[in-house]
Amino acid sequence: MNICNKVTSIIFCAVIAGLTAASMLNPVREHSETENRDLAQMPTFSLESLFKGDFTSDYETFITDQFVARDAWIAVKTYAELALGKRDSNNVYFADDGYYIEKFTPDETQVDTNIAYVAEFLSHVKDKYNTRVLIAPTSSLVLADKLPANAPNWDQDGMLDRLASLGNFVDTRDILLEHKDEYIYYRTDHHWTTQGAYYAYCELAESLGFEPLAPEELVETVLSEEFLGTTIAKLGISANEDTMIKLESMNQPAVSLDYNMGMEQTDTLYDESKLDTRDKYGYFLGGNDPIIDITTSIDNGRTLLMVKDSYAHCMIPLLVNHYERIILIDLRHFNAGVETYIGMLESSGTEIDDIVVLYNASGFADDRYLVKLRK
Amino acid sequence: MVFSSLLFLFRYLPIVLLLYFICPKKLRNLLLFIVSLIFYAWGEPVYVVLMLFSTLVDYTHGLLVAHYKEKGNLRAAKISVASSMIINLALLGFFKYCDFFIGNINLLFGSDIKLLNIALPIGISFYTFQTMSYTIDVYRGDAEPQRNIISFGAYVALFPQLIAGPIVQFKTVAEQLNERHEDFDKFGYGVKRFVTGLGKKVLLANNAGLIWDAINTGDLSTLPVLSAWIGILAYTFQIYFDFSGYSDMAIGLGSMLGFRFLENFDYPYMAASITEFWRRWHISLGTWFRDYVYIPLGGNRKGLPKQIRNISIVWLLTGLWHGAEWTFVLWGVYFGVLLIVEKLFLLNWLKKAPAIVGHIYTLFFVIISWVIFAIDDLGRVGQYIGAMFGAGGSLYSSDSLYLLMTNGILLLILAIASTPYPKLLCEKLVAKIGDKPTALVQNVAFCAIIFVSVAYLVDATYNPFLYFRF
Repeated sequence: MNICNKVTSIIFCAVIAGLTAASMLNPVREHSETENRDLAQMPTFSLESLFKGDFTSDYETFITDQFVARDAWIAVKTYAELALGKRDSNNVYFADDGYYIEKFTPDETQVDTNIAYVAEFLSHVKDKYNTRVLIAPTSSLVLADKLPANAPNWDQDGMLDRLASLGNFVDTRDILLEHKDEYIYYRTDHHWTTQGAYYAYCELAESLGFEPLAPEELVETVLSEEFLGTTIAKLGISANEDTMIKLESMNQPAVSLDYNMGMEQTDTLYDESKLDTRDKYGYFLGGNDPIIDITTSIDNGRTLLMVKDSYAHCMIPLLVNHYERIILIDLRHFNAGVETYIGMLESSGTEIDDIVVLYNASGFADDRYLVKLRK
Repeated sequence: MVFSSLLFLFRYLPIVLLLYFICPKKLRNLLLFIVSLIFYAWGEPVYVVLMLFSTLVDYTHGLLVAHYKEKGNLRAAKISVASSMIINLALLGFFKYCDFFIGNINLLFGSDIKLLNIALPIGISFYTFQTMSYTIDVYRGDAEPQRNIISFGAYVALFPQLIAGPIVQFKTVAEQLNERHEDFDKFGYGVKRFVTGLGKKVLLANNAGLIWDAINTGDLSTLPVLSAWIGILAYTFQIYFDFSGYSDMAIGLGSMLGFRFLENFDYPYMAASITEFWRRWHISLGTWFRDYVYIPLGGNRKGLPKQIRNISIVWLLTGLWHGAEWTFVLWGVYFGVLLIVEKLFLLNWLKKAPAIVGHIYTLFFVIISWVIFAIDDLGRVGQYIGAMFGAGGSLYSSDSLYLLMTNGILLLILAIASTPYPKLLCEKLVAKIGDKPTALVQNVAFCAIIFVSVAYLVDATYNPFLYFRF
């Protein structure tokens, strides 16, 4: 007998047995903070699910999702890809200057559909309300020159041009490109920074017809210097942490918020506790809720209805300086149609002045809930 | 269940190995039979019945053949063999080719017969070929009938080669079924083969597959020449590392359990002719067709016209075996024609030419064959081959440059790994420095392959086995 074969056999058995034991003893987690999603749980057994093959495939997903030290393995994979000289991994480009930028290829038919929904919505509301559509470009457009050479990049410009041609469009491309050397997008997250949102806010304000707050009227507060966002989470590796700030007026108005029609009331736009978690961006408005109804101490009688995704959240502290009431709707969680809701608001005596649809371009292109705009 | 999954590596395998080695020798075949059924039923909870049926049919037919042979009733023995073949081929025909047949009837006569939409039972092409080999081997006297149904069941269901080969002929394992010996040499060798196969599959084949998918899913009418070649080269590597990796894992697992299976691949891309390529690629399938179709038809012993006929039959069948699509038939015919041309004169020419000519010629035609193999729509096959020669209208685009840059090192590794040179180099070093001093390096390397593969598996949603379609 060859002694080396014996050693190899023993090492192999030890590795397999060790990892098996570790993965079986590893406590089952419900949620992965890094991946920001619920993990698969042990499937419930039934003869029906067994014969359909559901049980076995669910069990495999369960094993993979709950594998011991899951995040560390993802990092090993990313480092292996880096060692191979790959310029992207898990649909994230390793861009210049420490940026991680998502590779984005939307379903073109969804894009067509979504643009049509916006056009229809505009035709219904734009004569009655001061309506604006702001689809913010993402870093893959604004910071395109940081992408690896020749990297395939979806034609976001084309989609924004089509949206602009519908009218009532607030085009933030020029101002963001003008400031692209500033810190306007997070390096490790898919959102714009509060600074980026500020530039877009200025464009939006001018378009809606009010004077935006000037830089010297603003107070900047650093919220966290160790923000690692969703983009880097896909790679599992460590990176230069981002700095997250908030921008407010020197005379920031008092606010009271009503979440989801009376489910919860607060008097702040911020959720401090989120700063201690991975999801630090959730500091703004506490995350994604179906309806947030904000009343401010600005006594001007103006009301804004905003249909938005999370890009809007860090801009809200600025917008509260211009409205007595802001109603935010997140269609991903909202169980009604926007037009029906407007009708409800009107009949209960709310007079809406401005309507803004604010999304980021990649979120907009992929969104499956914009159909609710026309209901 | 597939080998390259966390479920197999960290649940199934440790439990099976543990049970197998604490189990008394007498009961090991029973254990193998049971765990193999679980392995199969994991992915095919219903079709496992079909496999049991096939097992039972061939078990009884084997006994019948032996019985009639003992009595000297050759005619009855022959009928028994035929009956076994008919049942096996009927199963395969029904589950694999029925819809293809109906579809073509509809196309030909404009009829509207409903397709049955039967899901293909995993591995049916492999296990029906194995069980057919059993009755034939018994009839020919190449093997004794297996009278123990448990041992026979273990042969049919044996999980290492159950779903994607190699196609183990009964005669090669007949004795091992009754009497085999497990030891550290075999186990250690098995570990090395298994881990090598795991790395080939998870690290090389899957990553090559990502390149191919990125190109194949796009618009082929404007595909630049460079992208088309990167894509099909990636597929060329994917299918080799996928399939040979699976065979390595099967041979490795077999060896851990005390079996010795025959090799299935021998660096096919090093071949200097198509004839040689097919002696190095999927060897167990080629051998099966040689032993059970080509030679019984007369092989090359009955004159050139008959030989050409025989080659044509074998390659038509080989094509169809790979899938119920016209593209697979075309693929088989394509190789049949090349092999006939080689038999007629090309092999002699190639022998006189410098070796490099043969290598380039072989690789070129093999690569083209993979286009036919990989794409199941004849129109797109034509488009793709066109794109390789400029029909896309451009030599390269920024996308193709990106693909080359981001995958350059991977493609280089794939190319080197499909030659025998890395292995030869390692063997040389081991011979020079000695087995024991290099053992540490070897074991570290094997552990590294396991760890990085696990990392890819934890991460991967992308883990398909190509040969599951067959």
